Amino acid sequence: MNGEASQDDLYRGAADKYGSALERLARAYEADPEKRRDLIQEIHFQLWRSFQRFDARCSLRTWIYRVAHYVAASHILRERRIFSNLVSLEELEMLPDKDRGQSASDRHMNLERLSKLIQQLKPLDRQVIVSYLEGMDSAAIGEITGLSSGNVAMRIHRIKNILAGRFHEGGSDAE
Amino acid sequence: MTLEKIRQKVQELHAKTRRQLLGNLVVPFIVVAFYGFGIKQFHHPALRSVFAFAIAWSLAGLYFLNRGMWPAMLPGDAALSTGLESYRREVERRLSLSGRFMVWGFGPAVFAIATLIMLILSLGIGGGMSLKGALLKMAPFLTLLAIWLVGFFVIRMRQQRELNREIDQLNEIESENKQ
Repeated sequence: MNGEASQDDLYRGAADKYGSALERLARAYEADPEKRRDLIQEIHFQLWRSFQRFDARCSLRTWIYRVAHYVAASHILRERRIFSNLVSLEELEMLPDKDRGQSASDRHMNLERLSKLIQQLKPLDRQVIVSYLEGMDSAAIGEITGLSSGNVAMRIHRIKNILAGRFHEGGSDAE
Repeated sequence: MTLEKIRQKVQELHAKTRRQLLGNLVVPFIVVAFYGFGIKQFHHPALRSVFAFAIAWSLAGLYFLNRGMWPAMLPGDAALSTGLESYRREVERRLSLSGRFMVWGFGPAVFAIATLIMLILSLGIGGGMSLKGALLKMAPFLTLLAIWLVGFFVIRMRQQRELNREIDQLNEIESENKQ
């Protein structure tokens, strides 16, 4: 099998299996639909480029998520949003919930609120929560992010607490 | 995304890179032409040295700025690094680029403007105007220039501070990780 064919095959397989997960990941990083479409294209493009060097040193899933998170985090830095309104978990806990008081019974509205909340987080915390929402365990998230399992578990716990607090205040149990 | 679309993107990327390279050459070309003209017109050795220094500064700036502008990490490298490592590298790269821009981009631009002001002033004085009179005539331009310089400097410093804070937070996360 030549290198290019292998690169193409790997990409095709990855795009088929993780295409929708990558779209959800892009949603966590970019709220604007136009920019999000560009970001998704950029993730796919960089993923295809990355497969030139895929050597199975880590699992395919870890590889894909590392590339995707890196591209998305670079996108945020390039857009200079790091300088404006991104917050750490500590700061997020202190921030008032702008959507408080709204009826949050609608599932779509809950998803929108969840997206908005995740989009306020710094890239590393986004990596954690996005991977968690994709059903990964602490060890897998740790492999992608480089955080220890304990650190990942602590971050997930705190993010979940913030989310639970916000959603209960909004009148819905969204856990 | 189809493979055909990806191949199209590869071509677009190559074209964009060529355009960026050409675009980055425009300002140094103007600076070199401006100071080259100065060297040709003025025969005072001190002035000529200043102009030669400005040309060297802009050309060095072109090299140092471009070196930092291209992606530091290939996607394959990002896949072999953890999110924490690649994010830290990206923040550090932005910080270094920001500092480099002050020295190699902003510096030559300010120097060129200062030289231009000096030339205009010297032409005014040579034409029989007093220094005070020439400065007063230029007051609106100088005021706007000062506002621009201060504003630019303040924004850049704030960006650098925030990037430094980001690195501090990443350091904290790393030390938490080790515990």
